[in-house]
Amino acid sequence: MAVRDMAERSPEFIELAAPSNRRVHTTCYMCACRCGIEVTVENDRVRFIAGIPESPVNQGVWCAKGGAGIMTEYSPARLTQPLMRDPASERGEGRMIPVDWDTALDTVAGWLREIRETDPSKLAYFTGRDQMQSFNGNWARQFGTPNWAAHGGFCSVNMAAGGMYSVGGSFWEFGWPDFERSRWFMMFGVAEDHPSNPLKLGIAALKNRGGRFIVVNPVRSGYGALADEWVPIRPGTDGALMMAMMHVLLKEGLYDPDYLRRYTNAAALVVRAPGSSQDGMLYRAGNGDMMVTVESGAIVPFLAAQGHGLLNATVEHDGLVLESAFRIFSRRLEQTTPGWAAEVTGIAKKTIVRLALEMGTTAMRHPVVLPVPWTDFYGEHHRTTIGRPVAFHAMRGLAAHTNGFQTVRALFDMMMLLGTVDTPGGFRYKSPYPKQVPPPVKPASRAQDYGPNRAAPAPLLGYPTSPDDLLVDGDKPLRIDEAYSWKYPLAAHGGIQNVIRNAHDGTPYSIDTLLIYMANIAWNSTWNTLATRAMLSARDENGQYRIPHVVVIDSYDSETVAYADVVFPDTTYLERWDAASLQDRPISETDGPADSIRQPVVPAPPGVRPAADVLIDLANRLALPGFVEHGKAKYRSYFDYIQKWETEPGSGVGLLAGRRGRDGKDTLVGEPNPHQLAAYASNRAFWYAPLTEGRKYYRMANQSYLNWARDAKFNPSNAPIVLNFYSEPVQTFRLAGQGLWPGKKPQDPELAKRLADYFDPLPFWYPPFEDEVEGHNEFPLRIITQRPMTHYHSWGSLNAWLRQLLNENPLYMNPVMAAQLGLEDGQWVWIASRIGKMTGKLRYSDAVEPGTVWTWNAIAKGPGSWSLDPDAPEAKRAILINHIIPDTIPLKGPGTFFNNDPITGQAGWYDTRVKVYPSELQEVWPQVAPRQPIRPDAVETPHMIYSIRKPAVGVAR
Amino acid sequence: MRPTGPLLLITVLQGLSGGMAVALTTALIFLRPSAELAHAVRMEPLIIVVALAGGVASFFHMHRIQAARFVLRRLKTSWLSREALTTGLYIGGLTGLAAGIDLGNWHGALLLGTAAGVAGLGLVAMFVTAMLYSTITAMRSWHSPLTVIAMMGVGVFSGWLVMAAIFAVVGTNPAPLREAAAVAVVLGLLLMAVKAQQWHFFAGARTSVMASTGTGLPLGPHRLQDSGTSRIPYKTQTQIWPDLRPGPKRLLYGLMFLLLTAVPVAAMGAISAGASPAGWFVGGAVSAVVGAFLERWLFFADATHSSRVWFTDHVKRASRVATHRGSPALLERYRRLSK
Amino acid sequence: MQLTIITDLNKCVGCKSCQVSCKEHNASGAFGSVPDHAPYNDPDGMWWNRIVTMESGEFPNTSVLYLPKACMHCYDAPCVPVCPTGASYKRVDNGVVLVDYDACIGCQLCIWACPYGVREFDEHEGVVKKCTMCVDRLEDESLPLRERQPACVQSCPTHARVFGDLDDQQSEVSQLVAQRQGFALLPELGARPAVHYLPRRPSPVVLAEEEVLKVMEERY
Ligand SMILES: Nc1nc2c(c(=O)[nH]1)N[C@H]1C(S)=C(S)[C@@H](COP(=O)(O)OP(=O)(O)OC[C@H]3O[C@@H](n4cnc5c(=O)[nH]c(N)nc54)[C@H](O)[C@@H]3O)O[C@H]1N2
Ligand SMILES: Nc1nc2c(c(=O)[nH]1)N[C@H]1C(S)=C(S)[C@@H](COP(=O)(O)OP(=O)(O)OC[C@H]3O[C@@H](n4cnc5c(=O)[nH]c(N)nc54)[C@H](O)[C@@H]3O)O[C@H]1N2
Ligand code: SF4
Ligand code: SF4
Ligand code: SF4
Ligand code: SF4
Ligand code: SF4
Ligand SMILES: [Mo]
Repeated sequence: MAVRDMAERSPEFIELAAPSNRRVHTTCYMCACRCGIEVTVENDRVRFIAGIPESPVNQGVWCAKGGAGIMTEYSPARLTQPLMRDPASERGEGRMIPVDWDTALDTVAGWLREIRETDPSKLAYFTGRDQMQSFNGNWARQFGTPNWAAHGGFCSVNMAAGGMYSVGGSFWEFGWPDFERSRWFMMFGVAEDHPSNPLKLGIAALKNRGGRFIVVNPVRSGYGALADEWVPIRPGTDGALMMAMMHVLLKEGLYDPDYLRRYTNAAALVVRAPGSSQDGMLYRAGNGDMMVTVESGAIVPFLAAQGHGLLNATVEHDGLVLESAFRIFSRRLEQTTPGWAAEVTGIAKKTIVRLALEMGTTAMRHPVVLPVPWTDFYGEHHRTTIGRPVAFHAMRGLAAHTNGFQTVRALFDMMMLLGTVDTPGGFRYKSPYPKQVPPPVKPASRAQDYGPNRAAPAPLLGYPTSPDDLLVDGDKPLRIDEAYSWKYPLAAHGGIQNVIRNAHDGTPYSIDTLLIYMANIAWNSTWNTLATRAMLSARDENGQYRIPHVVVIDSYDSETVAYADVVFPDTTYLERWDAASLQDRPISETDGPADSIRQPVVPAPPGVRPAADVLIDLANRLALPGFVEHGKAKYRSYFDYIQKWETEPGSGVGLLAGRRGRDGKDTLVGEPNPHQLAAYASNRAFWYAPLTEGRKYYRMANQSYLNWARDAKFNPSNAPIVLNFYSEPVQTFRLAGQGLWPGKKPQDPELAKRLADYFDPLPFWYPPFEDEVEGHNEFPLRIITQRPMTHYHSWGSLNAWLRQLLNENPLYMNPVMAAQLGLEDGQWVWIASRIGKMTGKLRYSDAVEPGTVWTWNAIAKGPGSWSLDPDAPEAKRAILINHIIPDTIPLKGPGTFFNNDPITGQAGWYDTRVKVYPSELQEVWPQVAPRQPIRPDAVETPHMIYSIRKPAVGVAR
Repeated sequence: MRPTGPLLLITVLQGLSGGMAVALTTALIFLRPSAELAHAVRMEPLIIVVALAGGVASFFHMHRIQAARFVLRRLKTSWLSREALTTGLYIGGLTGLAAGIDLGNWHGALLLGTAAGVAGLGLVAMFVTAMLYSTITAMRSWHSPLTVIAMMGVGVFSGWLVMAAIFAVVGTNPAPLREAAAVAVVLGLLLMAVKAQQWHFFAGARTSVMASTGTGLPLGPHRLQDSGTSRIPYKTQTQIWPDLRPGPKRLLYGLMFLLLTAVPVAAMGAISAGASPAGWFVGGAVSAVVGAFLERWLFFADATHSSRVWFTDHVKRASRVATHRGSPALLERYRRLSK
Repeated sequence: MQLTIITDLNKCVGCKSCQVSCKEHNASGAFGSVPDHAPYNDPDGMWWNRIVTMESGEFPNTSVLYLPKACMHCYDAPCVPVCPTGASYKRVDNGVVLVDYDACIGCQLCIWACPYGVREFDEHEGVVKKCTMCVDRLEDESLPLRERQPACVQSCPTHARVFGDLDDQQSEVSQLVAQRQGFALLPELGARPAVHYLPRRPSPVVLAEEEVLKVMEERY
């Protein structure tokens, strides 16, 4: 029955029904790492999940979550049919009534049709940890709303944007340490990160070669355990550490001037004309070329200088004072001494100096020289490839602070100083990166770009290069999340964390429908959680919900499902077609591009449908352009879309880069292949094309690579990519703040001040906003979380095996601090931030810096959600610190200022300050009202035996 | 380790019955040829009942009775195989003795010899059971001859008291009972000493495995940072059991000493001093039996298994022998010389 | 022959992949099942390989250690002689210690006798279970070669686990133990585990202390 129903809708499912014992290759989705997995199915049940040895991502290994996918497939928390809120119940109670698909689809299509015909921006579509961002973005764009984004705003946009505005790439999916060759590896603020298995493989490779591994982190956990040296830093102060290390590098001459001159704009001349609209802009020739000075004193275009631009130059020219970017930065670095940074970071001065000396010496005195010839964009031929074997990796420890963008900028400038960007042993890009700095994509910025019954003229997310690119109408944001507004100008990933409050307040405007896919916005991916939940169910003076419709697409009974008016039940990752695409966040390797697919491994239950198929169904009902042409639906299902969709008609670039063309022989660019998915399926579900040796390094400057990348349509041209040591786009916003920018400018003084204060074209450190809020001294400690290796956000607890590995989380505190506060191990404590308090159980740990307390992320659950017993440890013994993370900062200005980075709008999760004191309450508080688990029978199962040999007890479907 | 009902029953009852058999045999020796002999002989089935109750409990301790036929396979190495054999033989002996008394109308040397033999078997069974526990190297608290001495001591003492109490109740001549009471006082005091020594040993066992050899990490303090599966208790690992908290533990040990030894010894003392035996004996015996169960519960519950190194924190402990004394003059002299 | 698994503690990140892949394989393996109690309530299940997280030392000289702990397949396995039925046995051909469920009476004496706390009791089947060194994989000729190794070794994302014959001087495991000061746990208990661990091997500072001090003195 199950199979037949699926087959009616998508014939591609027929293949699946065949033999009952099989091994199927697909891509894991237990986290965003996207490892290749081989799933053994016996008696139509999942017998075993293992890594695919040939997969470039995981090379045959798999993690705890990956293996436990079996229990996710058979979790009783799965939603099995469309649901609608019982009209007699309140949002949040979770009293849902099963309905048929037509009812659910008709209802939602009705709402959407009306919105689209009147004002498409009344639809806000936000997604969580989704791996279909290309498709989702396209869907929203065709719908015509500006209000779409994935989860990046509360995740790591600082990391992404910081990199994109510096080197046209970034860490994680965009670039990666060269573990095979690096000798000295420093990792800032990483607990687990996206490329989970690759990072483990990489660290193992480094260890095999005896490489040195330094971890900068307030907490020693996870990978940090293996560090040769742990540098316990105060949260939010890494920028200061980097500035001080650069101070030493410069002072000791341990940097790579040649690299800076040739491949970065460090030598570029900057106009020094305070009060003028040119101030801080690069001095350019009439044709736009940036200019440098050479030895002779002449001012010549960057390219013409052939890498001989002076790093330290001040000249007067044309009545202007021009100064090289490097010199401006050097002057700043003179102030950022190790002594200063020691005060800020809590790291000994000697340690700071030594670390800088270590990295500088390793880079400059022990280069890697590969016998690989290449030619740069100056036309100069290099007989060898020289690398600096110093690598860095960083993640939310840098990103999740309100000073994160500038800190990430500092890191990239430090990497440029060391000459380690895209060199052997250093940081290396992953295809399709590098792109221009920043990548040349921009959302449409005018109010009239978004209107009834039409698609948006440009992709909805991108990289503004000046205030004129912002989505504002005067001071008023065009987007509900205020991304690309004066508050968060470079919000390249949107601002999902701002949506609920703004929609609730009706600022900048009210919306009609909130569509949520794969995000648990009513619990662990929200902040000030109780208040946010209240906003989701708040009513206006007429008794109507302030957010009139909430639609949720999820596979499991999350806390957010309880807040939905309509729920579309999705399949699991083992039941659908899908693509891990270069158009999304790539799974490419440093050696070349790669992508992969998912295919149905086991049949889906009859009542569920793949989310993408549902969205395509809706698009077809609404006749969205791009989906319906000449009254005919282009795609029947996502299976169809993956194979047929092209970035532009006839572009030859689609979701999958391999096996293109009618015969499947083209790569990267080629006609759509109607048998592409089948070809992937029978080739271990992935495609990987390592670059030729001469194109693997210095890709921003490697002409052969640049030519190839243009042909591959990674980049629009083969123009040189010059790394932005100095960020001119950032300066344009400062000018706007100063009222000097000729184009768009903010009116409100607070908005203007933020631009002037924080949009420094060169990196600097400032304290996180929470340190400036009045009364902050009352809250002396910083509270942060760690990703546990065994759990992926809230998805772990629905899994019978994973939840045994971690189901409660104490608050870890350094015993020295505990002694000072008179607190004892095992004691219940209050944890209070400026917005509220909660309880937790204290646990001593010497692996945390004394000024920091921490716990695991997203272990706590709302009682009764996820088909768990309301008394399960996740509800009764686990704590959720999101309750006390401030969502806003008290600033006077239009609307609300969220606790976000002022440049990118990244949520400042790790800035929260708390005080901890004894609690008279010996239990978890606050608690939300319990829900009835969707499968009471499962909750009561006393004993479960999962085996493909016998009928499984307790997991019957 | 996690205490379980069947184990408590089998070990306590086996000891009790063995002790009763010993007491009975002693009675047979000393009462001969008095009128009380008849009483004594009639006690025999009682011992069987006690022993059988233990035996039945042990039977149900097996989770797969269908494999019970294999239990004697490892007599060469397994004290459990040997326990099955000796306890079986003992119960068989008891039954034979009872049958002999009833049907064969045994008396005289035959009766005495058989009874002594059976009591001997009882002691052997007790010894084997105790050896089973004491030979488990991993159970640090048990791995000592003290286990054998204490276990047999508890058995003999409690059995002796119970048997004497029965004699007292059925109206035996008080003179030998007073002697039995005097013997019990000595036994009780010895047992108290042995148990005190064992308590001390249990405490030492707690620190006898080191986290450093258990983890390869030399520096203490060692702190277990797991929740979830690496934290006790597992339902599936019976050798581990959460630590008793110090307060309740002291209380339980105190109670155990009181019931198992102090109260019975006092009662026996009273009898020796001339009190009427029946009431005191019964009181003393009941107290000792309850005490024996408590003793055994603590024997299990408070036992430290070597795997505890991976389940609890290990604090850094200061040296217990260091003193406030500077370097000896010799060292000073050496320093001066080498300058 | 003595089969063994060596874990390099210099590489183990405590990811628990080996813990889950063990369960994953054995749940439906020849020696399964590996049951779970109250899976959606207050759960407590059977695992044949558990990772212990231990922290030691005082801030800032803190170490954090992950210790995967499964059967050590001891040379002088104390769990074997105590077993009354002979259900627990050690194979002479490869040194693997196994339980014959058909002969097991569930007395659990072997659980107490094992110093390492790696045997677990299955209340439903009434038998004791534990790591089998995945013999059912090793000896299953229908499996592709790369799967004829323990599941936990195959999955380990840092390749911290190495499988082989400790009696063969030339094997990788023997060489690792010899060259990297491999150690066994609680050697004082005399079980002579076959399973060994390789200690941490910190990579030192790349500069001489004097050099740093000199720079510090002169300029900072
Ligand atoms: N297993 C697992 N893997 C995951 C996820 C998961 O939930 N589970 N989530 C995925 C997602 S969405 C993301 S965004 C990534 C996140 O990957 P990570 O960034 O690795 O995850 P976090 O847990 O946020 O870890 C941040 C680390 O930064 C440290 N830190 C906090 N503040 C500071 C600071 O100021 N300075 C420094 N130096 N360190 C600091 C914290 O102690 C922590 O160790 O992981 C992805 N991978
Ligand atoms: N305190 C604290 N809070 C944090 C963080 C932190 O470090 N500390 N990290 C933040 C970060 S970086 C992120 S990215 C967010 C993550 O937050 P989210 O993206 O909200 O991630 P989840 O909480 O796991 O919610 C994902 C939802 O997807 C559903 N889901 C899983 N699989 C499928 C599927 O196949 N189909 C569909 N339709 N749904 C599925 C799950 O049931 C769940 O409801 O959390 C943020 N919250
Ligand atoms: S790292 Fe992520 S994608 Fe890879 S196996 Fe683990 S859960 Fe799956
Ligand atoms: S580790 Fe335990 S179960 Fe394994 S062989 Fe040794 S004693 Fe036996
Ligand atoms: S539980 Fe089974 S394997 Fe263990 S000792 Fe008893 S009979 Fe032997
Ligand atoms: S060898 Fe097999 S049974 Fe043993 S721990 Fe590894 S996976 Fe589990
Ligand atoms: S899989 Fe490997 S790295 Fe992970 S816990 Fe096990 S041994 Fe350690
Ligand atoms: Mo994230």
